[in-house]
Amino acid sequence: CSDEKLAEINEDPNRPGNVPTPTILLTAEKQIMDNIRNENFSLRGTMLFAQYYSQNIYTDQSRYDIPRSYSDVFWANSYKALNNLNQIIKLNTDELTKSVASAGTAGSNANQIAIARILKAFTFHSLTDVFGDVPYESYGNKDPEFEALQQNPDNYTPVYASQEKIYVDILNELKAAGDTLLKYKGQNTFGSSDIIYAGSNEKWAKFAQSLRLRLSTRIRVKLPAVSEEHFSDALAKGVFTSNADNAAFKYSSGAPNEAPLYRATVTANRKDFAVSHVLVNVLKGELGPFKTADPRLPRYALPNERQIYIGQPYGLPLEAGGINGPTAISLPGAIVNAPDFAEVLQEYAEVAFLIAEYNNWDDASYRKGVEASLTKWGIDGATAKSYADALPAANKENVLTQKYLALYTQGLEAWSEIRRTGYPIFLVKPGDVVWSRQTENGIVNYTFQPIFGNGIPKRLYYPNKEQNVNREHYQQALARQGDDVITTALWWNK
Amino acid sequence: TVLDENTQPIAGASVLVKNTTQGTQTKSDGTFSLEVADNSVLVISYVGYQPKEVVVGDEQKIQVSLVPDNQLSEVVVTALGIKREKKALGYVVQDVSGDVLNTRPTNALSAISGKVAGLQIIPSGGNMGGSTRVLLRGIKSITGNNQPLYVIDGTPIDNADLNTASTIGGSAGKDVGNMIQDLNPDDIENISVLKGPSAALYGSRAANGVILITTKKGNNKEKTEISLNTGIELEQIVRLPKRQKLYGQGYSTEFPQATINGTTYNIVDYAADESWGPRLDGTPVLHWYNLDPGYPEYLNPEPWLYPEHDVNYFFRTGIANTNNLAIAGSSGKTSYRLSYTNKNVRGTVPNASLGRNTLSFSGSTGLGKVTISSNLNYVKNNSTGRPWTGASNRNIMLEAFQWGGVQVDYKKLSDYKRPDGTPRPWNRTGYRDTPGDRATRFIDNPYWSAYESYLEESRDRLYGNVGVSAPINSWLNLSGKVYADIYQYQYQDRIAVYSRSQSMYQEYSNNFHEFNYEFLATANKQWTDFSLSGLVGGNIRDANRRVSDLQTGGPLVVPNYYDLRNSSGILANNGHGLFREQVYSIFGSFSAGWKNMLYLDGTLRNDWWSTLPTNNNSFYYPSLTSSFVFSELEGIRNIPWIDYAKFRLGWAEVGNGAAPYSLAQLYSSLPAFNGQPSYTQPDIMNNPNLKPELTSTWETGFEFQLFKNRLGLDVTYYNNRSRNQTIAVPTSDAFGYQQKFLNAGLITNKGFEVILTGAPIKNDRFEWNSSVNWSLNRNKIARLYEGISTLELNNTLVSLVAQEGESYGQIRGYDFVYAPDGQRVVQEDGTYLRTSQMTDLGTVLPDYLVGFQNSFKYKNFTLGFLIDARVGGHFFSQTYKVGMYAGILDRTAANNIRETGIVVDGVKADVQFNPDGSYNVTNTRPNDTRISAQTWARNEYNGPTTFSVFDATFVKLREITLGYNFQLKPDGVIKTLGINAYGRNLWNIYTKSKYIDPEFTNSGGNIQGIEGGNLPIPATYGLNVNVKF
Repeated sequence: CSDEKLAEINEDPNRPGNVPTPTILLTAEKQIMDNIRNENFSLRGTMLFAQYYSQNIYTDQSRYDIPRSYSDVFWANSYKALNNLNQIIKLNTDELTKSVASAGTAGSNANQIAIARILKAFTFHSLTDVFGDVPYESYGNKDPEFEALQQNPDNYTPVYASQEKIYVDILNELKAAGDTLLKYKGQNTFGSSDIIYAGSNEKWAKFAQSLRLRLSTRIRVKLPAVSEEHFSDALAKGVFTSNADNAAFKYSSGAPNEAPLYRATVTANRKDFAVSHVLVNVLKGELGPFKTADPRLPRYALPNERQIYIGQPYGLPLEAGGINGPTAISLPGAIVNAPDFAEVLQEYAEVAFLIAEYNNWDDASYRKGVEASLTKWGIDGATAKSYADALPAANKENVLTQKYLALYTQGLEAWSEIRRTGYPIFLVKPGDVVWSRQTENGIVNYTFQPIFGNGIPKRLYYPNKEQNVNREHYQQALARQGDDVITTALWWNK
Repeated sequence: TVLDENTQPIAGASVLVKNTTQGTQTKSDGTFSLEVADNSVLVISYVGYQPKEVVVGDEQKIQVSLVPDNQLSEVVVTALGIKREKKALGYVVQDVSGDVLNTRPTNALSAISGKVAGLQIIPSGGNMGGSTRVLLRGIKSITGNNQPLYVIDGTPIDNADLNTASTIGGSAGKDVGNMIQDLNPDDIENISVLKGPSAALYGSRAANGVILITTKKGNNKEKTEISLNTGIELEQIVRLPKRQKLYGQGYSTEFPQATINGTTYNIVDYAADESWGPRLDGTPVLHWYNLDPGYPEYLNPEPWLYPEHDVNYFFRTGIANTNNLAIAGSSGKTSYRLSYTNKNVRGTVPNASLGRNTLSFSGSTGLGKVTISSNLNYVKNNSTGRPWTGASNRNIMLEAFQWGGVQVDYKKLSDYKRPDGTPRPWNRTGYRDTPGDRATRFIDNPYWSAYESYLEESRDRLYGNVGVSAPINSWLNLSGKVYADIYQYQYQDRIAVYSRSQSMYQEYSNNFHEFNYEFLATANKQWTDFSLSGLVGGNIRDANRRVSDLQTGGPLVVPNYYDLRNSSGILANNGHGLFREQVYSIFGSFSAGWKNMLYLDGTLRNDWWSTLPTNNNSFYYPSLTSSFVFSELEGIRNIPWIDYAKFRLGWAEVGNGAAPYSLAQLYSSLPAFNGQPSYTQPDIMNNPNLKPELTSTWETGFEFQLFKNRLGLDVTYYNNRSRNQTIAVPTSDAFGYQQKFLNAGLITNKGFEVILTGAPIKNDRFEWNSSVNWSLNRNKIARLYEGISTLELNNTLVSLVAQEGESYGQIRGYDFVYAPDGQRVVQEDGTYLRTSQMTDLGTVLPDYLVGFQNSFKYKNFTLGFLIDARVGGHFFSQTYKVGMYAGILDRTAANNIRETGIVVDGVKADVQFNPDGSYNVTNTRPNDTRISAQTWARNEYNGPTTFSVFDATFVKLREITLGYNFQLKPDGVIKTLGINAYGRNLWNIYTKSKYIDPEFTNSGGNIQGIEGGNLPIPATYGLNVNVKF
C-alpha cells in the first residue's frame, strides 16, 4: 500500500483544516463571555463576593469555601479564548494565509489583529485580576518573561509574568490597537460574526480607550505616571459617550447559546441564586448613603410570591440558608434572567464614574453615570434624571457606591473595585448579624462566619492543574506574590 | 497410519528406523510408507506424545496409536493459534480451561480473576454487564487503555471503551462496559494468557499481552453429541455503606412548622437533602407523602422514625437465567458445532433488565487436500435501565448514600407518580400545594429515575472467520483467512419531563467493523535430533468506526414522546464522526529444537500504519526466546524426584501506531450562534511528527515439576520498558492548548510471578489440587517529557497524576498539617488545617496480588474455592466524602456526637507555608475547641483530602463451587449429567477500608482508584445443570 493511500486514510473527515477568521472571532467572544459569567466562577463566585447575589441553599461559597475547580475552569477557558484570538492574529500575519484571511467581508489584516488584541487585553486583564501573576503573552512586546501561548517552538510550562508588567503591557496593547482602529474608523471588520459591535471599528476603538481608563485607574496608586499618561491619552482619543457605545455580548434565545444565568437556572432547573439582602436594602433606600427608592430594583430583582422585594440574607450558615424558600425571596430580575440577556464587558456608566473619580469626584460625570445606568436598564429618561438629580453630591463614597450599583451582573469588575477601594462600606463583614429571626424560642441571630479567610477574598486559588503540570513556575509565583490562599493581596491591591 | 488418542490421523509424525538415519514423516492423513527389513524397530514420535517403538514383521500395513505425553508435554495455544508443546516455549503461557467458566458470569472474564499470575481483573458491580478492567503485568501505556488484545479463534476482537470521560473519571455517567462482554462463557473451550514476548507476533495491539480464547469445536468422533446447559443465578446487593439511623432530613434538630388550612403542623425541612435534622423519635410530622391532596395520607401527620422500608427495599434480587444448547458432530472430513445461548437478566435495581442471545457456529470440511474452516458468532444484546454511576441524579448511590433523608420510606417512594404525570419526590421544593412547591428540588425520586428516565441499549455483533488451508507437501502448508468483527451499538437515553434536570432525549449509535486479511505459509520439518518449523505471513487490518451522537437541544415539548424532533433543536455531541485506520503487516517466525532439550524461537514483524506520518509509518520489531529443558541432561534425568526442569529466557519488542487523526491541526465546530457558524481550535494540539511507540520486554524464569508431578513451581521475572508513547500530554493551559500529542515517556514495569501448584492428596477416591498465583509488579515513570515531570490523568473528583520517579496513578490532594511531634494541626475554629498545596496521598497500584485456588474431588463430587487478595494501593471515595458532608454515614451519628460535639485530636499552632509547599509549625498549644458534629463532618469534606483516601487492601472469598457428576451407563441415552452450584463474592474476609468496598471500576481504562458512587460488587449464587446426549 502506498504512503499516499495511507495518508489519505488518515485525513480527518470530521473537522476542517481551514475556516474563515470571523467564525473564530465569534467563538472567542462567546468563550470570553461564557467564562467570565460562568455559573460557578460568576454566580457562585464573584457575584457572591460583591454581595449582589446570595445563596439560598448550600451557602458554602458565600462563606468563601471556593472549590479549586472553579479556578481550573476559569483559567483553562481564558487561555482557550486567547489561543483562538492568537490564531486570528497568526492567520492575518502569516504570508501564506493573510490574503485569504482578509478576503470578502472579514476586514483588513490590521483591523482584525487590532480587535483580537483588544479582546486579548480584556481577557488577560480578567485573568490577572483574579489570580495576580499569570503566564502572559503580548502582540507588541516580546519580553522574555512573556511565555504564554508559545507554539512552534512549544512552551508547555510558561513562567508567570508579574502583574505589574502585565498591567503596563495591556495598557500599551490597548493604546496600539485603539490607534489602528481609530485610523480606519469608517471600516467594518468581522461583520455580523462580531456579536459585540457588528464589526464597527469606531466602537472597538472607543472600547479600547475606555478599558484604558479602567486599568489606569486600578494602578493609579502603584504607578501614578503610567496611569496618568494612559488616562489622559485615552480621554483625548475618545471614550464611550453614551449607552450606544456599550460593549456587550447579547446571547441567543436558541439552545445551547442562552445566557449563563438562564442556563444555570431555567435550563438546569435550579433556583439557587437569590438577590442579596444587601443589594435589595440599598435599592430600597434602607441601607447605604442613598435614602431614596432606586428605580432599578424591579429590574435587578423579582418580587417574591407576595409581590414584595426581600433579599436573601447574605452568607447564612448552612442550616439557615434554606429557611426562606425560593418563593419567599427575590430572585434575579426577568431582564437579567432572560435567555438573550446582553452581558456587559464595559459600559458608559462605568466610564462616567471613572472620569468622575479622575476629576476628583466630579459631580456632573457622577450624575451622568447614574442616569446612563438607569436608562440602560430600561428606565425612562425623565425618571432617571429625577433620580439622579435627587442624589446627594458627588464624593468618594457616593460615586463608588453608585458605581457599585451600576456594575450589577458584572461580578468580577465589581469585586475588583471593592478590593481596590474598600467601597461600598455597607458590605457584610465577618461577625455581622445578617438575619434575626423570630422563632418560638425567641430571636435567633445569624452571623456571617467565613469558612476560609477573614473577609472578602483578595484573589482565587491558582488551578490545581498548574500545581500538577507547571509546579516549578507556580511555586516561583508564590515566592514573589505570597501563598496560594484567598487572603493574599494582589500587586495593585497591596 | 499413525493415529492419536482419538483415533485421528497425526500428520508430520516422525518415523525412524531405530539406530539408523532412515526415516520419513507421516502425511496429512497420517499415513507413511517405508521399506524396511523384517524385525526392524520403528521409532514413532510426535510433539506432545510419548514416542513408541514398534517391531515390524512381514505385514504390509501397520497402525500405530500414540498416547499423549503426560502434562509435561502439555500443548498450549500460542500466537496465531499455533499449538506448541509447553516445554518448547521460552516464555510463560498460562491457560485456563473452560471448566472454570461454570459460574457463567455475564462478563466471562471475571471468572478468571485470581487464576492467572500477574493478571489483575477488576470487575464491575452487577449482572448487567459493564466494564471489566484487565491488566497484565502492570500499566505500560500511560494514557492508553492498557487492555490486552483479545483474540477469539484467531479473530481480533474490538474491546473499545465507549464510556464518556466523565464516566471514566467517576464524576457522572453510566458504565456501558467494554466490548469484550459479548463473549459467551458457554462456548469457551480454553483461555490462554500470553503475557510477555509471546505476543510479539500479534503486533502492536499485543503490547499489553494477549488473551487467546479458543471456542469449543466439533468432536471428530463420528457421532453427534448434544449438550444442554441450563442455569439460574441470583444476585444480591451487599456491602453497601452503612447509613446512620438516628436523625432524619434537615439541617436543624427542630422541625420547621407550617400552618395549613388553619392547623399548625411539624413539617420537614425541604431545603435540605441531608440528614442533619431532628432525631427520629416518633414525633408526628407531615412527611412528603402527606402533602399530596387526593391521597388518603393527606395532612395526616405520621411519626418521625427510621423507616420500615429503607433503601434496601429499593434493591431487588437480581435473577439471571441462562440456557445453552449445543450440537456437535462430525462425519468423514466434516465436523461442526452449533450452539445457541439465551440469557435473561433481571437487574438488582428496578426496571433494569438485559437479554442476550448468542448463536455460534464452527465447522470445517475437507475438499481433497484443502480444508475449509469457519467460525461465526452472532450476539444480540438488549438492555434497559442500566444503573448509573457518579454524581448523576439517576444514581441510587448518590440518591441514598451521598445525599438524602434517612427517614425516607422506599416503599412509599415506589408510588412515584401523581395522576397528572408529575413525580412525587421526597425532596419537594416546599410544603405547599403549588406547582413550584410540588416540584423536585435536588434529587429525583429514585423510582421516577428508574422507570421514567432510563437508558435503553442494544448491540448486534457478528464476529468470526472463514479460511482455507492446504498442504503443499509433507512439510509446507499454505492458508488464508478473513477475520471480521462487526457491531452496531446504540443507545437511547432520556430524561423525562418534570424531572429535576431539564428533560432530554439522546440517540447514540456506534457502527464498527474491522476486517483482517491474513495469509500464512508454515513449514515443519523433523530430523533425528533436530526439528525446525517456520512461517511467513502477511496481514491487512482495516478498521472503520462511525459514531452518530445526537441529542435534543432544549427541553422536550411533549411529555413521554421520545424523538429528536420533540424540542427546539438538535445538537451533535463530541465524538460524532467517522474514524478509520489501516495497518499493513508482514511477519515471519522460526522455531528450532534440539533433542527435546534446547529450543530457540524468533519472530520479526514489520507494520505500516495509516495513523503515522508517511516518513515514519513503517517500523519493525523482533523477538527471540529460548528454552532449555535441563531435566533432559544425563545427570539430572536419573534423579527420581525431578520430573521436569526448565530454564527460559526471552526478549521481545512491540511497536504501536497512534490514534487516527492525531497529526494535522484542525478546527472543531461548535453549535451555530443565531445562524452564524462558529469554529474553535481544539483542546488537544495535534503533532505531525509522531513516531511509533515501542515496548520491550525481558523475561526469564524456571519451571519445575517434582515428586511425580505432585508439586510444580514456575517463577518468572520480567522487565518491561515502554518508550515514545503517544500521549495527549496535559500542558499548562497557558500554552494555549490543554494537551498535546507527544511521543513521551519511559515507563518501566518489573515484576515477579510465582505459580505454585500441588496435589497434596491424590488417590483413586480423593484428589486435592491446589495452586497459588502470586505476582508483584513495580511500576515506575522513569521519564515523561522535557519540561514536563507530572502528567495529570484526571482532575475531576480528585487529582490523579503520573509523576517522574514515582509509580503510576498517584492520588494528590490536601493533607493534614503536622506539628514536629507528628500531631495534626487544628485551626482556631477547631477544625483540621489542610496544606495549602497538594501533596502525594498514595498510589492506586497494588503492592502484590495473590490467588489461592483449591479443588477437591471425592468420588463424583467436586468442590472448589478461590481466595483472591490484593495488598496495597489506595483509592479515593466520593461517596464517603459526600456521605459525611450530608450526615448520611453512620459515623456522623455515632457516640452521641450530635448532642455533645467533639474536640478533635491535635494541636493548635502557628503555621507558615512556604512557596515550595513545605511549612513550619511553631508555638503548638493544646486544642480545646469543641465543634459541632456538622462542623466536624464537613471538615472531612472541605478540609484535608486525606479523609477520603483509603487503603485498597482486601482478601475475598471470590468463588466457591460444588459439583456432582452422575454415574451413568455408557450406552444410555444420556451420556453425562452434572449439577454445579456456585457462589461468587460471598464473603469479604478482610478489607482495610470499612466503608467502601475497595473493588470497583468506572471503566476499562487507566483512570482507576476513583470511587464516584459505584454500586458495590454483589454477591451471586447459582446453579447449573449440564446434560450431554
